[in-house]
Amino acid sequence: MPIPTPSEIISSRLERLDGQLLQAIDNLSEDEASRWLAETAPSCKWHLWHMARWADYVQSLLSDAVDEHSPELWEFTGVSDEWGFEGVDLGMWGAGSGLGNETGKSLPLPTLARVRSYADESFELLESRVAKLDDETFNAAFTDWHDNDTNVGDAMVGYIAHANRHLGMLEALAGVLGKEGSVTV
Amino acid sequence: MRHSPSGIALRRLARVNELLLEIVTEMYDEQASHWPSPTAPSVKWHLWHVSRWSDIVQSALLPVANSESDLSNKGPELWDALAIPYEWEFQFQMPGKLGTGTGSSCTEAAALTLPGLVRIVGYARSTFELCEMRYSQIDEGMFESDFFDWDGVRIQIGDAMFGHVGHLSRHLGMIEALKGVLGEEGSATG
Repeated sequence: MPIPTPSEIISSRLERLDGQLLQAIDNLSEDEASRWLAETAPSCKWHLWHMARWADYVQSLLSDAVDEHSPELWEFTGVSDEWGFEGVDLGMWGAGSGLGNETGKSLPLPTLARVRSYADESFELLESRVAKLDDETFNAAFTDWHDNDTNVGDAMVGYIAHANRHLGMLEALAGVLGKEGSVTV
Repeated sequence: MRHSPSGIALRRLARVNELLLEIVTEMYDEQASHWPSPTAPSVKWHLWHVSRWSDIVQSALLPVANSESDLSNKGPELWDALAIPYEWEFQFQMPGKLGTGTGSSCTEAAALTLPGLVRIVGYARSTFELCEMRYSQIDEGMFESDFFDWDGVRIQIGDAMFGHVGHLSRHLGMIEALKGVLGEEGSATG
């Protein structure tokens, strides 16, 4: 078996992670996924929406490096309008980061099925961008979302670390809701 | 600035280790020991678990870092070398895979009587530091070679290194969420 390149490792880890995020959500009912267990503990649906927004934002950024520029699905396919998000503060990068709990809780998130569907599409699109990375594009100069000059590979490893944090949050919240799972990883 | 793949792994490991230590040192022992439900292990349990894994990973990477010819060897774990189970008065074998808690049930996990948070933080600091040292010794050539990981599976060293960072990040997220459930700020802004 050929030794995987760093970009192939990232691609395979991203696919696995996206599958785990969706699986964690699929174990929850609408009510469970929408519940804020405390004013300082965003719901599982919020976390899934946040990850979907991030994937969409990053797939658009990455499209310049591996493809032709592609806009975010959020705007391009009208998800934002359809869900009534026009004029709503979405925090940094329009992805919910740094919003604060009060504003985060007030977001007009639709049903879990619709958030999941958007997540599925944006995850898939990001996976297709990352699958196109090779040694050259992995090492290509890239200004990340914190305005740090780095390379594409480093930014993507950072993205995966962030997504893993939110996967952990989903799993812990599911555990608090009485679901098995978070101790077995 | 261009980062090599091994440099990326080290940089990301150092960051997640830093965040793990930062978040737990803001908590009281009582908060960190609390199980919000029988299926939600405490913050202290998560910290112990990631520390155990950091110890296993540093031990598995030692022969690689030392350029030994037999990469199936493992180095010593601090857990045994410093007789930590004895010091913490553990009477039973540690649960889960390799004594890390992985794969154990919540009942088994809850039965583990962990010491005070300060002592777990001490063990965490030592294993995190040692693991970072091992990562720093792995150059690009080694990163792309393969070895036998903690499961005895032949895998690329770089893949295993990225995998460890991902696993730690996942437990950092669990700790952040539990902190949020306890009414503390922080988990929504990551």
